[in-house]
Amino acid sequence: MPTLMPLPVVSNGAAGDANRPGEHAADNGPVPHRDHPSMAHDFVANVERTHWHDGALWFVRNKRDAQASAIPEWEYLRETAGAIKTEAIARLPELLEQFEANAKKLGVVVHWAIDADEHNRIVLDILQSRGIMRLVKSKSMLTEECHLNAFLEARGIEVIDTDLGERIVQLRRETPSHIVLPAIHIKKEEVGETFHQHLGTEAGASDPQYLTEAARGHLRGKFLRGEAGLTGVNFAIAETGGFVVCTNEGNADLGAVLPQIHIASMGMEKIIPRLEDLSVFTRLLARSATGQPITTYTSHFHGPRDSEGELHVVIVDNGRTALRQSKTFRAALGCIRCGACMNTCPVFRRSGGHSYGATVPGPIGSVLNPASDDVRHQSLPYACSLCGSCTDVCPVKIPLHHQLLAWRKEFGKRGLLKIGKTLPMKAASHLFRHPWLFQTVGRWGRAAMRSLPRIAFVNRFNVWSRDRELPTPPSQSFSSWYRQNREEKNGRDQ
Amino acid sequence: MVATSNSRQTILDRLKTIPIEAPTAAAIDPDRLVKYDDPVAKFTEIVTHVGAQVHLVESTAEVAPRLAEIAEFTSARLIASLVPEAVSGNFSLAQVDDPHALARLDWAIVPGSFPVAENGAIWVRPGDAIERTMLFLTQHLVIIVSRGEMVMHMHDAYRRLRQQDHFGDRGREFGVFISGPSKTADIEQSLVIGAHGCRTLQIFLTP
Repeated sequence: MPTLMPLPVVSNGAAGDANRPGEHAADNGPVPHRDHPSMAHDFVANVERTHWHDGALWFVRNKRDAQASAIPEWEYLRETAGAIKTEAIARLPELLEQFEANAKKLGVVVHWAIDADEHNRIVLDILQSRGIMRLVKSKSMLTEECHLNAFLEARGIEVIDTDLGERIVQLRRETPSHIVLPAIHIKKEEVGETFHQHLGTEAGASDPQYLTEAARGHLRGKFLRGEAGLTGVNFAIAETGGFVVCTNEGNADLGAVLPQIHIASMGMEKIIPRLEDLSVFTRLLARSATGQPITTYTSHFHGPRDSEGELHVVIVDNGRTALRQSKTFRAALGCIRCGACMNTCPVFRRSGGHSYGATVPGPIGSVLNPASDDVRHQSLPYACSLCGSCTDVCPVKIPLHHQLLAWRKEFGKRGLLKIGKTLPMKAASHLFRHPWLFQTVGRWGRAAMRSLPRIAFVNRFNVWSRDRELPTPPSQSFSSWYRQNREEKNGRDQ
Repeated sequence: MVATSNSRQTILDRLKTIPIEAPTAAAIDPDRLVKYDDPVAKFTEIVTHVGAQVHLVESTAEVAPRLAEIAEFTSARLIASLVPEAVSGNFSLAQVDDPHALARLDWAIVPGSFPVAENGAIWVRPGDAIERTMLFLTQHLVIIVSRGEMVMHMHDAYRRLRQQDHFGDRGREFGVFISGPSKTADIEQSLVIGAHGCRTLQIFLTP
């Protein structure tokens, strides 16, 4: 087991600020804390839909496998990617300064934001000081984390998400349920309904081709009227001061080139040291994410579009420096947000992204979110069977399931575990340390299971039996079976 | 709000307070990387699979006749070309001073620098904001690129970008790997070609 260093609990934003990461209400209001099982309750109640969601993600996982196995050096690439990220996280202060200096030479304005609130205020200030009222956005999980849309809309700025999946969830006043496939939880009939209401498509139409065409027409107008474009950053190159954005739709590029002002929101962990490092990540990212050899567009921005254009890069901390201080959880900063861990996770596939109650769901989210608010996200490391599949597919080799287990231990140390969890664990520990007690309890248990009615075990107080049936009790314990069968035989052999 | 300059210092101070040791990641060993016997065939296979059409031609003179066989091309109203020796186009980019003027562009014909065999991508480096806008705003895109410039994989691609093109070292610039027409699968994982960028991509591989 890795040693745990004390991990400071990071406050997100100013005290009393409602814009805290991890909330998934579209209205951005405070959401009462709920645990993963209760948030998954409605989703799993619809068995047919659960299977449909599971199947859709497993399809993506299979596409990823086909791509990974087509590259003989796949494991070598993962190892190298992990080593580059480890180096980058260690050298973070130096690389960020190097990036800033090189970006400035290219005419980029570099901003630094300690938290979500500061990030939002920087973006607002750029827009307001230029009288800009319309912002076109491409996909950025960081701006979701910062709840930028609600912040800007409350101040009269029109914010248009232009990634198709994000536009769908924006029109439905929802949040993405997956970091790469934002609308994976929504059926085409529901998209048809939403588009009928907002874009005037035919009632009842649900053909993806038709609906995408409608969105294309609608969003072209928005692109042409946009006064500023905001993109995320997939990789920022310290050595050149440039950055890379990967998309399939081409929306980031339209948003970045049509308006004179391009704002790029960048989590500080996006930094990589060298230009050549991109070769490793561009080979891994799309293959891991959606099972494509590469995204349609891999755009490299070095400076604003021309002498009249402006390019602003906002480097955001928002809890990342604190995560870096923890030896155990530091590696999670290497995440390139491909979503492979979500597509493979048996819990995610069956409970849906919204059950995590956080911007980044799934295994990586269950590691990251407790670092920013341990009480709020305490249930997430338990939304895991420790099967380790996430660790096996992670392109940068983050030991995800080890970290999820480490969180459980950390919660114990911090005294966050409920008595319902600690008391049975203490009892079990006592039991296992006393063989005579263990055997006695085993005997009683077997007898009780045989003689008591089923309701004694399967009832509403026993959470365990909610979806499980008890096995038939064996007639004897393993110890007595062993004494009968093996010890006698061994005795004879001798 | 904390002033940005102070936030910069606070963040850097926080990071520097905890020095972390880690070795420099070893450079990729070229001997451990995939090699294709027929890179052109690999490129064609991959990029066709993601929805592009590949035309193997012996000279740029073959481009115009091939395009003339495509109904959307013959009926196109606005065609802009950065490769006049292949297609003349009917729309002069010299008149354009605002990217928004390209909103009705039907076809764009652009040169590519080099193709990448492993993933069907082509490196394209537009000269200015107008040329850059063309790539993404046009309804249909044509890239003309020499198959003689083909590199095996992304490692060779970035080595070439540094050594031959001095990319990232020449001040303000933009470059993009394009692989196939724009697409999305955001509605129930159904692949739809033609999301926001080009609806079709024609690739001409010249010698």
